Amino acid sequence: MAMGLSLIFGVLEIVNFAHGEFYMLGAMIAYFLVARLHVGYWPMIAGVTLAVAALGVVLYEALLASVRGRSFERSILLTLGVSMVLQNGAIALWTTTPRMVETEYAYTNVTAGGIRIPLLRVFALALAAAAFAALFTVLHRTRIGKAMRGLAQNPDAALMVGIDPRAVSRLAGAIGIGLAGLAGAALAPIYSVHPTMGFAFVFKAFAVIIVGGLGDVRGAAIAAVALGVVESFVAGFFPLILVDAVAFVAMILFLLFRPAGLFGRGVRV
Amino acid sequence: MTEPRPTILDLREVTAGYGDEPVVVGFSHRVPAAAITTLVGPNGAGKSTLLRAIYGLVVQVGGRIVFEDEELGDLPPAARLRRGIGFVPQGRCNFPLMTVCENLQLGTYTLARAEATRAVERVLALFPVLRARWRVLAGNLSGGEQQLLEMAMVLETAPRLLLLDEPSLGLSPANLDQVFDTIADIRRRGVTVVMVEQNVEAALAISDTAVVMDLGRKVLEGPAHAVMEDPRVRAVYLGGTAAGESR
Ligand SMILES: Nc1ncnc2c1ncn2[C@@H]1O[C@H](COP(=O)(O)OP(=O)(O)OP(=O)(O)O)[C@@H](O)[C@H]1O
Ligand SMILES: [Mg+2]
Repeated sequence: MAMGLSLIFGVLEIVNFAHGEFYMLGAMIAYFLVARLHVGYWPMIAGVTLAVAALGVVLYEALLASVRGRSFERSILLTLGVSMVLQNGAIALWTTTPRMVETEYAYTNVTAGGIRIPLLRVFALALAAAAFAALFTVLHRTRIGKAMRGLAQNPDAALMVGIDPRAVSRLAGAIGIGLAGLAGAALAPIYSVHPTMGFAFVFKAFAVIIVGGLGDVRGAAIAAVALGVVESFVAGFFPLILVDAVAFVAMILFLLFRPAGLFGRGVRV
Repeated sequence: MTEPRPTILDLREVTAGYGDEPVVVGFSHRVPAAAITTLVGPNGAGKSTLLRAIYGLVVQVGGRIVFEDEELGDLPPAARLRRGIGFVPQGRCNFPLMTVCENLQLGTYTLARAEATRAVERVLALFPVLRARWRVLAGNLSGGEQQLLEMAMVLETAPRLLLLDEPSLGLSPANLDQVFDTIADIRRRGVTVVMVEQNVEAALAISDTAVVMDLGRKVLEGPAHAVMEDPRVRAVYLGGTAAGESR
């Protein structure tokens, strides 16, 4: 999830406050596919990821293409707005009742070293690892992936070598938001699905910006990645509540001890 | 020697800028093919803006830009690059966290895969220094090496027109000679060069034509040696007066 956020942040220079809502949408779509259409686990994962990635393209084309790098504040307000619309829309359509997504693997466990682990958690972990490996491979081995990194490092140089920033950003948006959808799809069968499940993410995005240093693009990208790593680590060993706490604890510590952010650069925004 | 060269780029009353007030105003000029044209003028004259307009990076509100007898209209930069116009912007412009190798790979972004490898080999023959720095991050190269890398990245696409914005900016004297030598070499290979330079004496020494620009307009043009002898130009650039104080 943080991976997608930092990809969008790096390439589009936009902090996507609506990221958590796409995670929620992913989980919702997962519910519909499984509970209503009786789709199996793996087709559901693929379907949700593609559907949310497509929504990412829509979001990019409709709103974000015009703000790229133009105004940091505007992108914050815009994505916050999208977040609120999606969340309240979901509440209106869906009510706040949590629902369960019951896939064919719901009651399957695997035993490893005497410990019983639900298979769905193993799948979720494997999916996260696979997504990370795939993203890394795309960014470092393929031409379009290198173009994404290039655009993030220097938009002027990207134009110099003939990269079409719009096409590359659109793809980065689709992949980034698609990853949020994938997270929603993988976690929906494990936790319950409800409209405010993505809400904590808005604060996490804030935390990432503060830890990275306000307006410091590179710092925030690093903070997002670090948060993702620490979170998955904590998630492996502790209850979910603590996972959410990580970002806020970090944010509070940084506000107390390093208010200028990771690299201590000046506040510009 | 003095037979007129064909025109590769024809600027007709080009007006371009960023907001309401255009920065380049009704600029007309014919750029001769296979020659070096140098654009000089005080800071803020609109030199960079003119180059950016030719590459499609700023809003062109009026006039026409005709390259090889075809009007460019509102073609985006990538399409202009594919047509044969390369642009190396002012200041450092590469991918600092990627190696020289990766930067050169991205330089072939608009080329077919089969052609890409040959393009890399071609520029390495022209810039052997880059082969020695193959695995170094571009951001860790010296200023002169970075400038050469950026020119190499653009030359990979084999442009017929190369736009260079202040290629000598911030370079040490030794690097400066190397960059100007390379530009002269590029021109000998038949590429048309249009460059903006503050280093007027060194730039005009390798140029065929010079254009003086001020307040977004063309104020003087002629053979490079003649422009260098022009008393007004000497007073502004070569007589010790700061460029900015000319107005
Ligand atoms: N991105 C921009 N947005 C708005 N105005 C700009 C922008 N870039 C340049 N300008 C304005 O356009 C005018 C001309 O700038 P330009 O960069 O073309 O000058 P220049 O001749 O290249 O100067 P220099 O020698 O300093 O590079 C300046 O007044 C500048 O303030
Ligand atoms: Mg300039």
